[in-house]
Amino acid sequence: MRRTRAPSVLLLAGLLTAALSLIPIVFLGLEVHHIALADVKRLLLRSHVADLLGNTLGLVVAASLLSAVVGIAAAWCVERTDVPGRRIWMMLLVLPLAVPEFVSSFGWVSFFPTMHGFWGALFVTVLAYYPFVFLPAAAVLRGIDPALEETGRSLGLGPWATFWRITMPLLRLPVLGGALIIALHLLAEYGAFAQLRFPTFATEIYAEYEIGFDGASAALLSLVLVALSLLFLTGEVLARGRARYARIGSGAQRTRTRIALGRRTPVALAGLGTLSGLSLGVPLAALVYWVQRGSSSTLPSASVVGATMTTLELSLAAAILTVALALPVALLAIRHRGVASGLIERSTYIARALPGVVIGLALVSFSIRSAEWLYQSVVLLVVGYAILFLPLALIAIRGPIAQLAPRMEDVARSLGLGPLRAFVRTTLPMLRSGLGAAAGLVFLSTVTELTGTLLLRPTGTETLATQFWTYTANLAYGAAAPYAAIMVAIAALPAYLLIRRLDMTGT
Amino acid sequence: MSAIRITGVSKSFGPVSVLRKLSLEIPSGTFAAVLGVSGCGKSTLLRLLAGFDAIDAGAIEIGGTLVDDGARHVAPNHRRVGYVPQEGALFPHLDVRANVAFGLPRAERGAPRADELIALVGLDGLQQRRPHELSGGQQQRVALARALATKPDVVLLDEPFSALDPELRTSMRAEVRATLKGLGTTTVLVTHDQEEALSCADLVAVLRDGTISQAGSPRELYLTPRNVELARFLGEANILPARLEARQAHTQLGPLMLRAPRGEDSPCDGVVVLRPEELRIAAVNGSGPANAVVTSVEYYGHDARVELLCDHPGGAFVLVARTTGIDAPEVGERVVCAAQSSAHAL
Repeated sequence: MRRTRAPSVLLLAGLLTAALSLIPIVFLGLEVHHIALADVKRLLLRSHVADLLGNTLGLVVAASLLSAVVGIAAAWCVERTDVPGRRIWMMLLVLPLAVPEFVSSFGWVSFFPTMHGFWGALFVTVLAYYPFVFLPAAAVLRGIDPALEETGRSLGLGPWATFWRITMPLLRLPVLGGALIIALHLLAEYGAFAQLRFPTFATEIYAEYEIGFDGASAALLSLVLVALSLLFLTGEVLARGRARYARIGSGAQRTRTRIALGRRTPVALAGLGTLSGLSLGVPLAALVYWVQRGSSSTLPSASVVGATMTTLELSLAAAILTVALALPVALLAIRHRGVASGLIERSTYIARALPGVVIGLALVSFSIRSAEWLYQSVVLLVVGYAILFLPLALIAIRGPIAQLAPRMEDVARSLGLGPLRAFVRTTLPMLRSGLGAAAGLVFLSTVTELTGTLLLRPTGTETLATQFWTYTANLAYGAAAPYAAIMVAIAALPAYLLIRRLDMTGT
Repeated sequence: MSAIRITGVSKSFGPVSVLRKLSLEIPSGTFAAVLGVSGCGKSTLLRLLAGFDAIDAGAIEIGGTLVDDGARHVAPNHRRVGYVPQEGALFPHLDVRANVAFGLPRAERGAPRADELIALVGLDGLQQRRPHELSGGQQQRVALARALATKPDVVLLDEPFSALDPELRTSMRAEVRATLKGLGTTTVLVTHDQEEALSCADLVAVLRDGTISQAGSPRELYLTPRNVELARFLGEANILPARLEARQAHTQLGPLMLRAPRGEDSPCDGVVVLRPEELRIAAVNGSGPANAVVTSVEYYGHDARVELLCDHPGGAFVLVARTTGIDAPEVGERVVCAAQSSAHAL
């Protein structure tokens, strides 16, 4: 890609985005900076911190491994065998991503109240997160040139040896990337682990903030959490960077013949059915069950409508702001590579390592210290969403921008258009679907966001997620369920559209 | 002994019948080419030989062993058949040496065998390279070395040269042929390029409509095609109506000797095939009266393709001739056109 000087408007916009994404980490640093060294030692070297670390890392390792096995097996069934209804399975196996973790854990805990601790957390998180492995694994299994595996067979390898020596090495990095994304989610998740009573850094930070007894401790733990996230994030970026075993050559790829399951078909169907039933069926069944129970005892409150409206408004605002902030960064990174744009892009990367609880905490501290007029304002909440979901939006719009030839704008310029009009009339329309997808992703994520919202919302502002959370905390499952049901229903539509896009670009 | 014997093989994909009762024998040590337009089923035939797909009916024998008869199907890893796919399909996660050594038993992977093969295909020194660091031609060579490492009885080449640029294609063809003939390996090359098939194979089999319409040496196929379609498929051809007698044919260009005497004496109507280079055109002075006018000339340097409109009492007719570059006439010139050799009658 050619390098051209970035227009200063674009640079300014990019700098604003970068500054926003750096606010949390800067204020976290300031907070920690005020703590005496002796206190830092006392607070960090507690056995409690070691327990949290053990819990978190143990779960990360176990859940990643198990998700990898489940995800690869499911992807194999769908992509490589003639199992009936593969498009439907594809959909069902990805849809758990549309159900927030704290809703699926609610489903399990409400049916099986003893489902607590490590094993409960492992069970629920694997069912919620295996799609992160399933998606890249399915893409690789679909994308591998069939000639590779056939050549392996002609060189004397049996089917299993072919899988281990050719398919597995090609799956390794994409699956590792998926596993690291799972790790990042596990580090950031608060709601599910609070319900499953499995203490991790995120739940501990929130608890300490809530109790309000030790701001310094919360900040220190946040810093450890961010450090861990950065570690996994770096691994993920490295895995993704090397994962491109581009197909060599340009010839057309043959379509693959699927493995005929024959009498094993019922086994495959049962496996996929069980997986979908556990990951999607149980949480949804719990919602239906509790909505019915609830409606018989309590009247549907007007606050359901209110919370829905609030959620939609906030999510729409967050989607628009986030995409608007992400667009200049993506344009800079792809069209105008240079020192400034590189730094801008990297600072938004750091935001990926910031869990909602950390962003929430840092913005609260920022507003109290430096901008009191923002404290507990809707603006701060939406900005928090934007910082939290900026990396997501960036990922979604980078691809479409990279595919656009800058030549289009050159042609427009040669036809007499100014730079801005050339951009608006050529690039922007071609980016429409890419920007739409990014906005959809942010919208979907905001609808189901809990932790940051709990910390940043103005008093009295209730979203579907926070209302649900308040009721479940009081064990009022029947009252809580409608909020979750609406939340899932809203989130399912953009999720469905996104999955369809993924599926279409994949085949 | 036949290295490959294909007897009455049929293969359909769903409702689409791709191969219909196809039979072909390839003697041991032969470099054979299966020639056909894209989509004619030639890659399918190769995949059936490799064992990636199973046949519906018929039988395939490789090295005297029955490998598929529609019921019993020997898996590809038990056939001792080397396979070089289009584009090479090198394993992207392995370097050149590991790619070549891939099929060897674990104990032999460090042995000199892999390095010998890399040297054989002329890539010595590139052992540590990754596939994406190689040019197209180098990738093909690695793919060939990889297929040869396990000492297969038969090597299958699936349009291996089609992705290369024309100059490299010619030299790679010669190189690969020399390597495989040197090892005495039976080879089946699949291609849609008639020039490629004629220039490097000992045996060319033309695949049309799901079956072999003619198989033989390149010379046999080019000079004595079985029908008009085959004549046209293997290169440009002038097809002239003719009155055929035992040893000669009467055509619009006058009487022509037949390449092979016909079995029967009674004359009948037929056609003769004249390749463009079998026609001679000469300037009017000296060679008699002009009988044609040049309507177009495509000049290639080493030779030229000339279209002529020939006078004839029954109506003018078009002929295509090929002359050397030096002798190429001008458009509009009147010339003398005559056949310079015997003709193939159909």
